[in-house]
Amino acid sequence: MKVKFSDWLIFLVFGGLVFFHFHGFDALEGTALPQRNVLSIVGAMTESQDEGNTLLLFILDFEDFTCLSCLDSFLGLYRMLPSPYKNFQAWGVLILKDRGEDRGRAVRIAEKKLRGFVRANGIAFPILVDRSRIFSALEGKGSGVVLFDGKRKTCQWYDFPLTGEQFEEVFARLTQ
Amino acid sequence: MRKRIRDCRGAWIWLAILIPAISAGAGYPETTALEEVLSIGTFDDDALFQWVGVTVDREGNIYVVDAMDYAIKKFDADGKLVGQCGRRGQGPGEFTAPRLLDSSEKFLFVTEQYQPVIKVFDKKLAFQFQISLDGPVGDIKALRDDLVAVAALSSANKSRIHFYDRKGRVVKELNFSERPSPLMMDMVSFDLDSQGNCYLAFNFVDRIVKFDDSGKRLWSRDLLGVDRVKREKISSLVVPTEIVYKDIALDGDGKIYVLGGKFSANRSRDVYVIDPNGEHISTLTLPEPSHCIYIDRNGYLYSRANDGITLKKYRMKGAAKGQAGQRRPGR
Repeated sequence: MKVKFSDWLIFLVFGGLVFFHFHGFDALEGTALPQRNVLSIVGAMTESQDEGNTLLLFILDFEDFTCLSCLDSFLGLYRMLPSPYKNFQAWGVLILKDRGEDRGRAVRIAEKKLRGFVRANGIAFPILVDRSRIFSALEGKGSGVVLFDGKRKTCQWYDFPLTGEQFEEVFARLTQ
Repeated sequence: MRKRIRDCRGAWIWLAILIPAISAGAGYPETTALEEVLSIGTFDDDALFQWVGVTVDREGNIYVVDAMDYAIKKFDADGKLVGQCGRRGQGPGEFTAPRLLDSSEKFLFVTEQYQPVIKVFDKKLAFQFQISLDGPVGDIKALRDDLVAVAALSSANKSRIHFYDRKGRVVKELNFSERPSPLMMDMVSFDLDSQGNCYLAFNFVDRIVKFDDSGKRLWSRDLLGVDRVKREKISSLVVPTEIVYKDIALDGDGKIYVLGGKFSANRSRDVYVIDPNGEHISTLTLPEPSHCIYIDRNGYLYSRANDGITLKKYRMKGAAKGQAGQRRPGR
């Protein structure tokens, strides 16, 4: 069954984004939940048993990519992703910290850099630029990947660079 | 008599105001003005996405390392893109994180972040060969087609500038510090003049030093009064996190240009101009913060704008009075 766009929307907006905005991951990680499962998922996607019910959300911050191991980890994971994830079953959000400068100018600069980044690295999934600082709670958190697992009804954050074990864990959960 | 004194009172008052002002003004070095003559890269084009290194050849062609694009880009003197090479990878002519760039008569020398290697291209952007080094590179200066000077990043080679031939053999070295330094505190940017004098700007120490060709220290200057920079523990390492001087460059007259960092009155924008004897003679202020400066053989200055998507070329001209650096009390 093909994943509907409305499913994406419900999943991302109500299952993830709003929660991040109001709480941030630091609050989530302080919760005593097994295996760092940090968020329950509610919505149409969780009832679906098709392969589309595990989603990836990449949180990207260009400042972290001066750390080559972080960049390599992101690109390495991306290259290993099964085909649906490479194209539409993963999304990205580019974090733009507030540095006290003209926001409009900062956004235009970021959009251009992102264009170059996507082109040079052959990234095919969509990446949102956080123009309005919806994800401000994640500023300073660093780049990482969030795995929304509809089957397990979990949401988990992995920092870049991933350890070997984390890499295998993410890959296994995407391919099982 | 009394009337005459009273008549002169206004003049005395003016003198009382002006003399200290003139004296104070004389104590401030002059501020050189910049006139933009070329801008490469806009918000909408694909010319530059994140440039990090620049060099200019005898014909005025501008070569730029674009880290975001894993590429070297060649622009003519009018700023038109005339060539490009490189992509992400580890093969010949490919990059994982290209950074610094310099040129000799025939070649372009490009470093890779954290890699002990210099990749060499000709001016048509064809990959030629690579030079293996003893450690990752902090700064480079191409002296000839077969000789490049390298300030190492690695702690194993600290406080040294090594001169490598094209086979990666060290043919000379400059030891610029007799005492061992804490991690990264001996990181420098450097440049050399035609007599072989070497000028160093310490990145995390308020120190600018000149050595002669034999390695003898000729002078040392501090411009900003920074006693100590903040150091933080990152993972298991304690490293400095506040940069004092970001880059150094020479012009054809032997003047030294040092780009200030965090402690400058205009952070990452103030460029201190020093004469060959170490006297601070003027300060110029870039319109936007930059990570580096480059001065070509005709005296044009190149720096960053728009956070790396734009390269600016300036003519340095005139002199307007202004306050130079901002001395900072030690902590």
